Amino acid sequence: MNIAFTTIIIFIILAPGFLARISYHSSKLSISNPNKNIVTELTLSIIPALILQSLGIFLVNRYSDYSIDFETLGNLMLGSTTNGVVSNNFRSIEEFKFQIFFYNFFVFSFAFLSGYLTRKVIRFTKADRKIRYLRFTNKWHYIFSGECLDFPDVPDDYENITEKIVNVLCKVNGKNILYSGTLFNYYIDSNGNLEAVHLKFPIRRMLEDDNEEDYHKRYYEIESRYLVIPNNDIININFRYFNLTEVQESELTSDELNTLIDSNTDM
Amino acid sequence: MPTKRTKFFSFKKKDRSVFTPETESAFVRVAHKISSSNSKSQIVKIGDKFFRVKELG
Repeated sequence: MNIAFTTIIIFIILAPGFLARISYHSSKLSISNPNKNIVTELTLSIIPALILQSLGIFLVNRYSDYSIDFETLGNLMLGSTTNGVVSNNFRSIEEFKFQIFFYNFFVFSFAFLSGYLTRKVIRFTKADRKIRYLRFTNKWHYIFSGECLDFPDVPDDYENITEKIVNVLCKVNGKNILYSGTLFNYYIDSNGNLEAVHLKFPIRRMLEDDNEEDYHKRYYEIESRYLVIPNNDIININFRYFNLTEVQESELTSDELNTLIDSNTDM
Repeated sequence: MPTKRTKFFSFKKKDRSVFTPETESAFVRVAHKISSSNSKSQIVKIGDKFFRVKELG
């Protein structure tokens, strides 16, 4: 038996871990790099594969009339070249081909489902926000969504966010321009780097107007509801998370009325 | 440093009913007037509606 055959056997044994990892990372929360190193992926799949295979072996041995033939499996993995042993091994495979197929089919299906459910449980319990080790690879998600407010030692909660304002400082034709708007979407590339920011209700002004006293009035509206800013132009991004609650004028105190910001006159 | 109580479950839904395109657009235009260094909420008047605004984080 050659090394290629042994490799196939090892791949089949590790495949449940590999599948569990694929389904766990199949969401916008994870970076999906198509140029992944398959050796690294399989190495990281060893522990989940061992857990899933152990569970499968336990269930087969405990609840079925069959048992896993470790002797044959060991011979196949070690590449035994003795004629009698090789023919016996393949005779066993031939005899139990349907059982072997269904065992692998169910273990693979369960692996895929367990990866998906693990992700759902982590998201439902918000464990990824509380425990750094469980955080997903797309770090931008936590910043753009505002879920970073649920990180330990950060005040306030993600659930209270009603509006996200993003200020994007860009260099356009050698001039620094500040774009502001509500966050509509963001895009990342296969390496997890930010590709573009998508703003809604964009406005902009020159950064050099910071020195002017009336810089608040230097903003002007862009006649568009949506604006995409490519990362190439971006110098930095400022995120502001707000909670807005509608109130009646009669509920306001005199102090609040004195410091009121009126969108009709203050722009 | 403020610490937070671990809250694993929450079924609270955002009340987005107040956000019409006009409200949202107007809020973008006044957001830079809201102080980041102030932990208190501020009142913003958009059209004929009043909003209590608090910056989070």
